[in-house]
Amino acid sequence: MYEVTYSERVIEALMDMIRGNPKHANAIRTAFREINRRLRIYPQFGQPLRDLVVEPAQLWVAVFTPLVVNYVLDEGDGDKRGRQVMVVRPFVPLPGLGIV
Amino acid sequence: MPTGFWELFVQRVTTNPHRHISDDLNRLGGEIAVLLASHDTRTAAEALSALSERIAQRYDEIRRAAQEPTKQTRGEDTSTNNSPETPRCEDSSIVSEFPDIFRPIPVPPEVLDEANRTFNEEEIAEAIREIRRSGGLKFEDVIHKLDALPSEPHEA
Repeated sequence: MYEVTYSERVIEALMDMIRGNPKHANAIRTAFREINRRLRIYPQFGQPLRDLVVEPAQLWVAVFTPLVVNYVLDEGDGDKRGRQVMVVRPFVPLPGLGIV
Repeated sequence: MPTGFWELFVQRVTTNPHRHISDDLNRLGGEIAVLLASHDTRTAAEALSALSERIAQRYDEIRRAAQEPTKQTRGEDTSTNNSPETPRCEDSSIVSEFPDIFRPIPVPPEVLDEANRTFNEEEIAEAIREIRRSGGLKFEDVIHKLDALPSEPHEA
C-alpha cells in the first residue's frame, strides 16, 4: 500500500470546487473517494508525465470522471523512505462537463 | 488492428487456431474504432475507458466464477495465484482483493497536454516541502469536511 497525502491547497481547492458546483458535489466526492482508493493501492492507474528534478520521483496524471489528478509518485528506497503518493496540484475538472 | 494479433490471442487462449473468432474480433475492433472516430477525442476516450471497464468487469465475473469451484474442491488459496493474466504486483493478495483496480484508465490527450503545459516544477517542489514539513493531509482528515458540504440534485 502507498501512503497518500494531500497538500492543504489541494483540499481547499477541492472544497471550493464542491461549493461552487453543488449539482456535481456527489460526483466530485465519489471521484475523490475512488481516486484516493486507487492511489493507495495502485497509483500506476494513471500516466507518468515526467521525472522530477527536485526529488527522485515522478509526476503522474490520472483521470477518474469528473476529476483530473496530478500526483507525485515516490516508490521509496525500501529503507527509510516508504512508498508515497503526494497530491501536489489542485484537482481540475474534466473539460466540457460544466464544472468550474 | 492486424488480424495476426487476434489470431495469436485466440490461439493462446484456446490453444487451437479459431480463424473465425479472430476474424470476428478484428471486425468488432474495426467497428468500435469507426464509432469512436465519429466523436470528439474526449468523448471517444471516455467511451473507450467505459468499454474497457465493462469488458474488465465481465472478465472478472467470469474469472471469479471459474475459480470458485477450484478453490472449494482443491482447498487452495488462489489469492496468491500469479497467473499470466494477473497483473504483476508485489503483494499478489492485493490483486485478488481489488481486481478492478489494476487497469490503467486512459488519460485523454488534451488532459495530458494541459498537464504538460501548466507543469511548474517549483510549484510542485513547494507542495512537496509543505507535505514533508506538515505531514500533509490524509483522506481520513478531510472526507468528513467534504461530505458536510451541501449538494443539489443533478439536472440531467
